[in-house]
Amino acid sequence: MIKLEYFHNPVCPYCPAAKNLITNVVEGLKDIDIIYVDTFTDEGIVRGMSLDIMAVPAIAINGVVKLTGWPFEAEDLLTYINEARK
Amino acid sequence: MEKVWDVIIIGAGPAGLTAGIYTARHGHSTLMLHSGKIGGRALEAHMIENYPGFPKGLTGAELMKLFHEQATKFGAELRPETVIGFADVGDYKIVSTRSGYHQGKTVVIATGIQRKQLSVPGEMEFKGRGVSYCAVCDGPFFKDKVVAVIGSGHEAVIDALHLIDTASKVYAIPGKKGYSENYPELTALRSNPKAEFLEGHDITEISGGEFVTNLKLTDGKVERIDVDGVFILLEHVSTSNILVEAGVDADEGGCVIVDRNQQTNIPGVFAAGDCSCMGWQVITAAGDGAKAALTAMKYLKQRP
Repeated sequence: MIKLEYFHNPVCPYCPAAKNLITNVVEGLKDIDIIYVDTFTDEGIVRGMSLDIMAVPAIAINGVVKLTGWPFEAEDLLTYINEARK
Repeated sequence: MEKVWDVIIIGAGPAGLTAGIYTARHGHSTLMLHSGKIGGRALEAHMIENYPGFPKGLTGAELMKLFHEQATKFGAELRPETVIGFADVGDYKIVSTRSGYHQGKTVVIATGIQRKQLSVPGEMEFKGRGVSYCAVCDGPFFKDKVVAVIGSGHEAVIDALHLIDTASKVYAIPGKKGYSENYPELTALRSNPKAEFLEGHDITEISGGEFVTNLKLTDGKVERIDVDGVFILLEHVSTSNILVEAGVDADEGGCVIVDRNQQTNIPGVFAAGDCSCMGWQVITAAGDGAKAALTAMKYLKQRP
């Protein structure tokens, strides 16, 4: 399984759009395990900082940050997912 | 034939959502186009305490969620499509997006405003890697770190105070002209030992390696400061360029010109909220949105 961590928080204006994009990209993909990380929680901010994330929305795949700050492109996310499959 | 919407609303902030609530509730087919940010600039407000009906206060995101729910409850259709063109072809208005085009009998412009960029080398390169435009969203990542807050307006002062709770040090850099006003919160910021004011400077470059490490300044004794984060909180500018280019009247600052009923110079085209550069509050944007919707519905009734 590929672990996709999606970092967000309730006040981030672009997080809903990022979430929609992720949902659309991973729809039907059975090898993706999405973990929602709220950076307004203690565990969430610790996890984000441990990966050197400095902005939300952000996406890490298998523990490596791939996309930070909106906008993301669906194509880029899919490329990173495919890379992780190799 | 393509569907012709009674009302196309461009933007889904407080003004656009309110207009959508009004027109959809009256049974008018309502399409709302947005660029993925439902709630607009209000989403960045960490606490709204002056919106009537919510005496305990709530976050901008919470309030906008309620606006959104109310608009969809009445049947407004929200689509994440960025508008790239507009044309008034007499009977109908054509709104083009990256996904195609839509026809409407009326259009409500509620595009809001966006924060001005600093436009110095390094700003785009380090976006998300130390450069941020939202102190509330990204502030927690800078716990015990040194940050700079660039901006001369009220939000820059408020956000510097917000950041000072978590950061180890906050440089307040309003730019050469200094703060726009003597905001009451400046007293608290100036008396905080973690704040250092660098007034009379402009930023010339943001630099670093993998992440931001320093800022270069001009016209002062200090030429460079070491920082981990840079919060760019400059004033806002109107985002209605595409509509202005298509003939909607605007002033020199790009603010859409409307009459007291939110009517623009083009019949059937209305504007509401921050894009007309008035009010700057959720309540005034919502009021503008309601007025624009009422005028649009009157126009629909009288339309041949």
